Amino acid sequence: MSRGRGGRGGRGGSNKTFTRDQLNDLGIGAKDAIPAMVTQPPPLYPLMDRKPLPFTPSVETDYLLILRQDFIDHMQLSPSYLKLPISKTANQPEQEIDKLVAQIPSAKEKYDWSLFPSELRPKALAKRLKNPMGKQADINIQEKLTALEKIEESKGVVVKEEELEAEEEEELAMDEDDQDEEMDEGTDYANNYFDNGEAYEDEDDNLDEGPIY
Amino acid sequence: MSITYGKVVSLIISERFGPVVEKVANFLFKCQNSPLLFIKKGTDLPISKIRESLCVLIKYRLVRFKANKNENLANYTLDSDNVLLMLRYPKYLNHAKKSFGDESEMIIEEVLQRGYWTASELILKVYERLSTKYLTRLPYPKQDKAVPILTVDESEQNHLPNIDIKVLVMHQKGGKTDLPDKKVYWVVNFDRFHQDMRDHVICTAFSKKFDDNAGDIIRIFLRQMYIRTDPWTDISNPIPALEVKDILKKQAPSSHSLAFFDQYMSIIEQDNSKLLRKAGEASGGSYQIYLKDAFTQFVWELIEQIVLEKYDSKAARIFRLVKLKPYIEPDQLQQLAMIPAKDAKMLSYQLYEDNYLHIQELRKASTNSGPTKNFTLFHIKLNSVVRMLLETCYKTLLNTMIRRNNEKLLNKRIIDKKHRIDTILMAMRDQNATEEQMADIEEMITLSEKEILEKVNKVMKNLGTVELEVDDTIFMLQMFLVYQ
Repeated sequence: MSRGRGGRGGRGGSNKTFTRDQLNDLGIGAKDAIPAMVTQPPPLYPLMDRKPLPFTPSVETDYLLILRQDFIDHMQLSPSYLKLPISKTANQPEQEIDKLVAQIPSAKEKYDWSLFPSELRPKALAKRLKNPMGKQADINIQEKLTALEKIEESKGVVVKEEELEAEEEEELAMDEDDQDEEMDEGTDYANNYFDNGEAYEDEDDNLDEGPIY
Repeated sequence: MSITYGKVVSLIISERFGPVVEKVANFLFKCQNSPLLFIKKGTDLPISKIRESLCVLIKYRLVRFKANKNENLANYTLDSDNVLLMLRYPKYLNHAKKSFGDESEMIIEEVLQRGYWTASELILKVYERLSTKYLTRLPYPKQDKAVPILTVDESEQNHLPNIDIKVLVMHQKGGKTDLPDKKVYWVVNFDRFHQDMRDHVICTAFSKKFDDNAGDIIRIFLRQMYIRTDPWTDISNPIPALEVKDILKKQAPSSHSLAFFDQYMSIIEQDNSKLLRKAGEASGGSYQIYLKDAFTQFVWELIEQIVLEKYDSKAARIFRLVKLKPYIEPDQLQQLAMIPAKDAKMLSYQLYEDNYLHIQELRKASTNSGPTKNFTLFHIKLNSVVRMLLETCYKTLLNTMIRRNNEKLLNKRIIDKKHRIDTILMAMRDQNATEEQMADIEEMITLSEKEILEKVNKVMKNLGTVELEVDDTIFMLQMFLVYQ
């Protein structure tokens, strides 16, 4: 019985098992039989000792219930209620009502994207938002180039190489962009494929950053 | 953050947002804090669906996010407490309806259903709500970043936007003008509702205990409290009784509450909830409101009631005895409870087993001579009892929800049939069908099916009521924890 105290370095509060002394204090004599250890899990549906009081129906609870149901109905019909993507192997909807439900156009929610992290934006929108940034970057490069030219006049060859590199990088970036667009113009299938590939790479990046929990 | 709690949260979400969002929320509940790609890995859903469901959850303020170390990515956290609040939405609505009428109910409903909204669309009626802080400004990004940092200054929180009615009318007529408050969104301020519900709990407690007049006096005291004090402090600043009396004079010059004001004050002061206590004698006396103590008392009474209902009156007597004498020896308990020793033992063991009582052991430092003496004392840790009961409440919620879903599944065929017939009837009514035709259709539901439907409806109603009532208990217990 006295698996008792300490041992596992707990916080020192009393554990569930009692020592003989404690049992004595609680009024269990040496003669009293201690119930055997219970090794079975408790029943799934334990019997109720007492019957709970019935509800007192009131207009207010009725109204609250209606409000509750209204809200749930509204949510289920709203675009926020996302349905599982129907896989091709799944059977066609059996009930007519299901067919009707499937016909309801699933309108997409409109969001104010400035409130959300950019990674959640749909692909097309993200690009549109990025473009003005790209223009800005262009201007910067132009400015930088002119600045570099000025320095170049005074310093000479070394800077020229750097400039070349910068231009090359820009070209590369442009290429990538072009590729993106080609992929996007394709079918859904192509889109999906591209998406997955990107995710795979990103995951790798994350692994480097820290442990996974 | 127990398993039961998680299951309740997931059921609530699945009922309102469907299986996809539920899966994402489940994963977030497990991980607490996770970036997008881990969610994808953990849920096996296409990334577009995860994006969508995260947007939905963020929109309804059920998920928060924070920039990762890499500032382009975000970590998402599920706000599980807010999920639980969805059960309380009907109560918010009802409260708004009661205090401000139908329009405000509609406004709150609208905002709850949409998550957030701009004031222009809610137009002028919002003014009243805003000035009473029932709506609050949605935090917004100040800089353009990949993961926006959402902030809102305290001064802006309730600052009214400039609403130009001319522009509104133009917009309604199809003009292309931009609304001036385009990016200023408003959300429901749950805290403000909780504050009102708290006051309501206090007032009804006093109305039930004494009479409605006492409740009125308390209500006025609470209202006066807000002039001088922050609404969530433990103890308010002193409130002069004369002020309350003046208000009563204006409100109801011939009521009992005014005529017997002093008597009412003295019984309220002597009440064991100790809500009102005299702070000073000057100018007819001033009182302080001890909200924390009052709620501790309420929770005690709630727990006593639960013990009474669960284990009957003898156990309740033992429980009260331990409360009265915070540390009590088992022997003494058996004597004082005036119950046969054997019963007393049984009941106290039972209460201990179910975590209503706790045991505190007192050890005397062992001396060299003589036997050491240990004391084992019964005692109640209110805080842990409250948390244990909260857990039980979540369990109850889970059980009712599972039961409801099961009931729906079992009778799916009949419920669907009923739905179909209802839609057909609606369509026929639109096409001006004759009564006979309508009756024909209606007869497609047989008598036995009707009976089953009625039974199901009754069960659903009962389960719905359980949900609402359990939420009341949760509210009370949470209020207690707020003041800890």
